[in-house]
Amino acid sequence: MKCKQADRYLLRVFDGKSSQTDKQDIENHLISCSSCRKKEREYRLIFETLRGAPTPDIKPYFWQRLQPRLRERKKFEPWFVWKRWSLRAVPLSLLTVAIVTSLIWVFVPRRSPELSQTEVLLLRNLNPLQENQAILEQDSAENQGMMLIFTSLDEQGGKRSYFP
Amino acid sequence: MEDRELIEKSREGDEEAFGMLVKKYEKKVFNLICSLTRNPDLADDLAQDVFIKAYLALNKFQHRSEFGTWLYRIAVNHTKDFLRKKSSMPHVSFDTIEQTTILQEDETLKREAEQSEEQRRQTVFKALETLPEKHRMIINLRDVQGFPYEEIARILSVRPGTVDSRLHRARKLLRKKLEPLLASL
Repeated sequence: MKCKQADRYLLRVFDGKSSQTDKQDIENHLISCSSCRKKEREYRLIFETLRGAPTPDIKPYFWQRLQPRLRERKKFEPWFVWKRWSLRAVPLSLLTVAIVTSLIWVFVPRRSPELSQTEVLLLRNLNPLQENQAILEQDSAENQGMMLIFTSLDEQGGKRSYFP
Repeated sequence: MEDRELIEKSREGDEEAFGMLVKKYEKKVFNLICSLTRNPDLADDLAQDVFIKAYLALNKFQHRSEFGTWLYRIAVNHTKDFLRKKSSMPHVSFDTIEQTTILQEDETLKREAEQSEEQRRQTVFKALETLPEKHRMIINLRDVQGFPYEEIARILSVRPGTVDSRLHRARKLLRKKLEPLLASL
């Protein structure tokens, strides 16, 4: 085994990830190689120091100290705001829509559909062109024009006779 | 109660369920952060931040890994971000380090190494702090906290092969840093 290979295998031995054969090979190499023996001692010292380092105790009441911070953050977090209000907002908006719809239904007067004069005449089974027909049958073209003008003026005034 | 059940209850707004999760993992999260910062007060603050972050992100947790692993990943990333922002921890890039700095560091380390076991520990950790962040992180996770390779891979979001090679390099770097002092330790 070469020193470079031994270096990698050595670290695997410290990790407990080497096979029994590799372990044996390393041990044999260490017997014959002083440089790798030195490395092995150094690694051992480092690992013992790192792994044996004492860990300080966590401060007491960790959760009790965390709770108010958590509640404070939750107030402004969009997801939690939505979760808190969505449960109330959905039925509330449905109720509002229902109230507004019923108010409109009750208070807004319903208008019957208006029919035009032509439609009224057609419903009465009368000819809507009857009045104009009489005018067009006049002798003079000038009279016809004047009569048509007066008829249209009458229509605007609201007084209209469909019969000549 | 199982983690999964506690997580579901916490998602529904049950604070006590989350409290049980906190009590289960607080020590481990605190130790992990403490090993990275070497400052118990700061570690306590950061651990609280980690649990708040985890609580607010609980809806994103999809049980692809263990809850603990997910929590440790948040802890590692949060601590890394904090240390980068504050630069409270000495971070000396190994690639850019100058020889004079090494000598100064070694002199300081030598003086400390001449004293008690506590000082030996300080020396090793001081040397560890001078490693690049990714190497410092992996030694902390493996050699200080004792996480298995597979979990380290999940925490750092890297392949297990990367953990192996990075750890090997980190340990070599640390030994190289400490080499002049190890004889006296």
